[in-house]
Amino acid sequence: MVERYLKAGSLVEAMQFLNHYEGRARVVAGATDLWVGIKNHNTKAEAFVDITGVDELKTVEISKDYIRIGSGVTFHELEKNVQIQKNLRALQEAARWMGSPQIRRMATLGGNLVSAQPAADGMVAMSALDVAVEMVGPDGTKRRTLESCYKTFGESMIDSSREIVTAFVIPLHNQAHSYFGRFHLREANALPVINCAVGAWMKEDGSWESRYILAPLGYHPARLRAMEDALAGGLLEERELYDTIEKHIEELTFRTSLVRGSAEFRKQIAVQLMHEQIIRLWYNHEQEGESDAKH
Amino acid sequence: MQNIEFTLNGSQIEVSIDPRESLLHMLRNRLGVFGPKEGCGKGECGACTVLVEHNAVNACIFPAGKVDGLEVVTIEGLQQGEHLHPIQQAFIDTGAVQCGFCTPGMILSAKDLLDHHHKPSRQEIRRAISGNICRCTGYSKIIDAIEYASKDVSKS
Ligand SMILES: Cc1cc2nc3c(=O)[nH]c(=O)nc-3n(C[C@H](O)[C@H](O)[C@H](O)COP(=O)(O)OP(=O)(O)OC[C@H]3O[C@@H](n4cnc5c(N)ncnc54)[C@H](O)[C@@H]3O)c2cc1C
Ligand code: FES
Ligand code: FES
Repeated sequence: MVERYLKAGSLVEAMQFLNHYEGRARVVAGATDLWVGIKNHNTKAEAFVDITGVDELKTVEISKDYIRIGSGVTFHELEKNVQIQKNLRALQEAARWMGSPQIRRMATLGGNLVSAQPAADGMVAMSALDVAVEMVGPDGTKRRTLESCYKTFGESMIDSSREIVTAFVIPLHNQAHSYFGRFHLREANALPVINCAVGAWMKEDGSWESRYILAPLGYHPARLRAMEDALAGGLLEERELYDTIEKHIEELTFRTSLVRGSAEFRKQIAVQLMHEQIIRLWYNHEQEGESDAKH
Repeated sequence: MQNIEFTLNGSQIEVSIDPRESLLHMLRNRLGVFGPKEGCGKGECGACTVLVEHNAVNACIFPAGKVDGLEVVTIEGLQQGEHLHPIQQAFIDTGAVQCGFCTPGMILSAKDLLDHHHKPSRQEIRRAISGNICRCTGYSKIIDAIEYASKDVSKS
């Protein structure tokens, strides 16, 4: 039985509310996942702690070495943010395609993580960006890798009755680029048929590090590590690149969905989508050569 | 039950809500405001669109408790006395209304667009109403109406 809807004015107040209810309250951000669940009577809580009025969670800070994005930043704000457009292209593109205008006005990045949907657009993009997740809980603040925040399908390691995700911290690597692609049946529809993100940056020793992310596969955005290794040797001819992508994606197990298409259909879309994004990634690197531009 | 206060269409309101109630439920069932419609009830059709702090949101999945201290505008709040809002008038003038079920939501999505962007392209208009489904018109007249209204709104 829910007793109270509490609006926190600061992070300290939000934590006080959660501590007071000792695990029987639940964090609410944009509510775009939570309130669908509420209607289906899936959510058990004695109080809701709304964090959308907490200014500390709504900032985007940029320094020489990193961008720190508050967990309460909405997808609408992400799409419009000039620093994100300039430095984190994959995230900006994901924000552009995510949901409808109304959903983007409400939905936050923090909720996109804690809902733990494998194809959540914001988190697919984040997975290509070498991100760290910052949070606060009863034991103080801590940082986790993105992957370690997922428990199983639709379940997060983050306990939103006791912990609050505060920010996503993304290092500004040298010569970094990232892109995002998505295939959906109708724009503004919940979750895509397939989405993917790619990212690459130059390490201190001059070699390249890359990330190829595909979803939905498994219970979190899937990093295609074997394909990263296979493509680490340098630029390939376009046909050879396509064949390499196809070979790696062929080995993956996709789910058949009544709404979002058969496993075979998804596999074919995945190859096309990944190929398009890797072409964008490599082509831009070639164009910009040894410039010291970031992301 | 819990009391909240907010501004609805310019008037200060105090109402008692269930903390798990949606804004749509509160508006229709407690306050008798029937402009926002319930279509899908899960954020996908846009029939329930209202403005909260000038931004279009889906009232069906918006917690009622969230609007405490905020400003809410429904279709009922657009008309000024005898005068329809230019977007409402444009929908009539261009024949953009058939059954009318989607119309309040469409108009409020259009208002969000035109409040933030005075001269949108047709592509931008299409994108702004991509969260609103219309089963009757085929959308072209709705896009015409919003384009037509953008000329009036940018003059005022
Ligand atoms: C019609 C519709 C379309 C959608 N389309 C898309 C889409 O295209 N792509 C996509 O990725 N998603 C989509 N979604 C899903 C949803 O909008 C996103 O996952 C969104 O980012 C959730 O954020 P929120 O702020 O609304 O989270 P909420 O619903 O408020 O919360 C979700 C969960 O996260 C917890 N939580 C939220 N913030 C925090 C925090 N800071 N710390 C700890 N716990 C927290 C809550 O307790 C809850 O368990 C769609 C949803 C709907 C209804
Ligand atoms: S009724 Fe709210 S979006 Fe359909
Ligand atoms: S006019 Fe009937 S649904 Fe749009």
